[in-house]
Amino acid sequence: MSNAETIQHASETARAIEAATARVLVGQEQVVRDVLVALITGGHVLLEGVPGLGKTLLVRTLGRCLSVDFARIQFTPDLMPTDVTGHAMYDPKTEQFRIRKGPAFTHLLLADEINRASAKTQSALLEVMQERQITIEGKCFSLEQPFMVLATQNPLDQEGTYPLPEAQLDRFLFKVLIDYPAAEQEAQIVRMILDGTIAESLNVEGLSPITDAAGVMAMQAAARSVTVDDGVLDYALRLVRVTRDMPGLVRGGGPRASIAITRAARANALLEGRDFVTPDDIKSVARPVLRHRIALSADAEIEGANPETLLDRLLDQVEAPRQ
Amino acid sequence: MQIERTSARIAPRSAWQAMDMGTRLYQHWWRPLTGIWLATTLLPALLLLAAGMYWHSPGWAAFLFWWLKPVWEAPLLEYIARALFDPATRIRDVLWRLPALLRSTLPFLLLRRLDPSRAFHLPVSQLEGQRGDGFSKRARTLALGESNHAGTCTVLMLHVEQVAAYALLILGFMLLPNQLGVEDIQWFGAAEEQLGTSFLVAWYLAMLVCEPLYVCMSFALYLNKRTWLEGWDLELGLRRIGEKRRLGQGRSSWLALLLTASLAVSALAPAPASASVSADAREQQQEAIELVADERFMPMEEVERWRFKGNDGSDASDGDSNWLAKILKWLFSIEPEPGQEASASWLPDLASLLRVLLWAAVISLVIWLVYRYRHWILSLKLPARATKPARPMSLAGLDIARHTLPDDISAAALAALHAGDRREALSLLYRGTLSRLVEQVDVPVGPGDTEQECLRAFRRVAGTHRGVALLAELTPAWISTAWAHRPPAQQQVEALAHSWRTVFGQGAEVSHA
Repeated sequence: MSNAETIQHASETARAIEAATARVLVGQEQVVRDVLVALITGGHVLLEGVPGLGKTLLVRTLGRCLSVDFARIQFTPDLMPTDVTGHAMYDPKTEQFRIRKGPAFTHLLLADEINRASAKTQSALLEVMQERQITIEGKCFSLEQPFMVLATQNPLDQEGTYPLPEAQLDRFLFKVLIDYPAAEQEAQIVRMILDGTIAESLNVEGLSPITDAAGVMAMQAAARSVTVDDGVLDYALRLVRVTRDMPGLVRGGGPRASIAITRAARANALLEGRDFVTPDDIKSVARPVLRHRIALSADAEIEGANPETLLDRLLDQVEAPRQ
Repeated sequence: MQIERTSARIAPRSAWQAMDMGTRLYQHWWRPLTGIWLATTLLPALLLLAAGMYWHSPGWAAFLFWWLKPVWEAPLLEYIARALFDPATRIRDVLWRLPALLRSTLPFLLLRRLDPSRAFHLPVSQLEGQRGDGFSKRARTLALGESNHAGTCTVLMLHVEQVAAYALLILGFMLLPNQLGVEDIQWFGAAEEQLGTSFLVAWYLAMLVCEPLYVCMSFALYLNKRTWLEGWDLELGLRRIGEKRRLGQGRSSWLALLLTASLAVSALAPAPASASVSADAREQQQEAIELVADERFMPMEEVERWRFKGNDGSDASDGDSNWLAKILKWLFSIEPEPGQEASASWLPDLASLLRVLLWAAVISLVIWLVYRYRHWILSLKLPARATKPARPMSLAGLDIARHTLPDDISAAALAALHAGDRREALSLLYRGTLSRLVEQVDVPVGPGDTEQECLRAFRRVAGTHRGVALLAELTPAWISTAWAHRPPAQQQVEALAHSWRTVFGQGAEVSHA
């Protein structure tokens, strides 16, 4: 199979997954697209939105479409690191210690309300995300690929939470905002629930798997073969570097942001069925990549600015690449 | 009042300079003034303090002491007024007069207690002995001319006194050891009894300095106002000169003095001078003029100050050049309008102050509203006068200015194509399309817009334009060429070049579908 055919096949598969997920998660097309781009890139996603917008449904649907394992951890203040990674326990029958693997040993992990847990537990998970391996009692266990964490946090009700440190936020490829669906789409959701087209209890058994773990790995490999022109690469770098000196920002994106934006742009190009990256790909992934990597200055916040408005300004002002 | 015996230099001053003179008076006589204050107030203050502590109401004790302030101020005024004209005045002389002083201050414990110019008017009652209508007429007279700023002085000293009292109180608590556990005092909240008592002590100590100072400043303002209105400085100068002439030349000094005074006053007065004066009188008049012009009589002082340009008072109708000066003068003018008699009470000052405060409030409100809704104001578009934005010279990072493109783009593209440069041919066609479309369609595109965004913008604004349809064909071909380095087939580029000629021709033809 030639490279073009590989990319074409991977693109069709990805779009089929996107279409199937979007059918279940009505009104969140951009969220589905971003999550799928992150999956193909091999990154992790931080989802921010109020409860009840379908975050769990999204992960369940993805797990079903990809035919991979799925686990969910509800983060609470008393959650311990071993509750995430696993631990060694003494088995009286065999009189030996037995390794009990935690929920992190999965393909898709939904870390619900990650900012509710203590910094120690958050660090344990974020280490898993970075290393893709877990060490229990000195023994190292590699996680099965693909491995993707979808962590959620609630923008409201910040009382008693532990905000993620900047260094750990950087480990998420994307920060995706989930907003309420539009009125028409919300009406469609209600109608589908009433008709029984989709189950109210997040039952996704009706969906048929589209690919498997190997298929996901193939998509990731195909994305790595997408070419990036020097002009486009320069555009991505300029976008990130401007954030470091931009008025209204005290912290901009680091080199990890430059890498993330280019890798995610390749995945986006793959989803579009192209084997090359265009400036549009860079722009479409710039917001979720940079959103959690920039910090507003105090005066910008007082003036009512938010990361979205500043990123919009950034994308408008940074010149598109010349060719 | 024998003004020639004054130990201060009497001269017409501004209100602020008069207040400065008051501080000089206090500096000179602060010891006897402090002594009088302690002698007259210490015992009542202690009694009130004890009563406040006994009945657990230090607030009432403070209020009573505050209300009786004119009583405490009267001996101070008596001393400073006597000492100014007779340096040999003793504290004992003042204290003997206390009963009489209390009688003169009685009206100031009633309605006049709330007069902001209280200490300024106190000499009228106490030193001049004016009562009832006489007091009112005298007060009205003293309100004539430039504002005396007596109310300002009261407000100023009130604040100084309060700040000093709180500073002393806080200093005292800061010096207390931590073991006493006084860290959690609610300074400005519901005052606890102990705090209230402590504040009374601090307040009394602050008044030890502030009250004599306040009385001195107000008395200086009073003296200054009388100097302005009654020409004390003139009178003193004439008396001194008359004395000199009497001693030195042996002339009839009384006659010269009287003539000089009458002539000087007539020269200053607006009324026309009498025409029927004798030759001898003319001689005396000339002599008086020379005397008045003499440096010793009226020392000249050079003062530099900022003035509004054109506001020299010579021409009241000099157009709009001094409109700002007029507005400011009207806004902040304290003196009455010509022909309008000023009221003697403190009300005109208060009204002027209120006017300034109201204007300040209105201006502040407008500034705040503009600042608060600045984003909304900036977002307002003025369609009638909106200037058409400059035509973009580059789109999607490409030069699309007409002078950077050949006249016949289609022919140039075909030439490049036959030369084997498909990329150049496509670039010409793409840039040419954008250039023509930008000329014909007003499209809001920015420097950050990509090829696809440009296409979407043109479709949104002029979806039926044939040039936009051509752009839709050209864009994917150009993107593939630019970013994947895969130009389309030669035939496709050739077809696009012919389409370009069909749509745009050779010139800048406008063609809508």
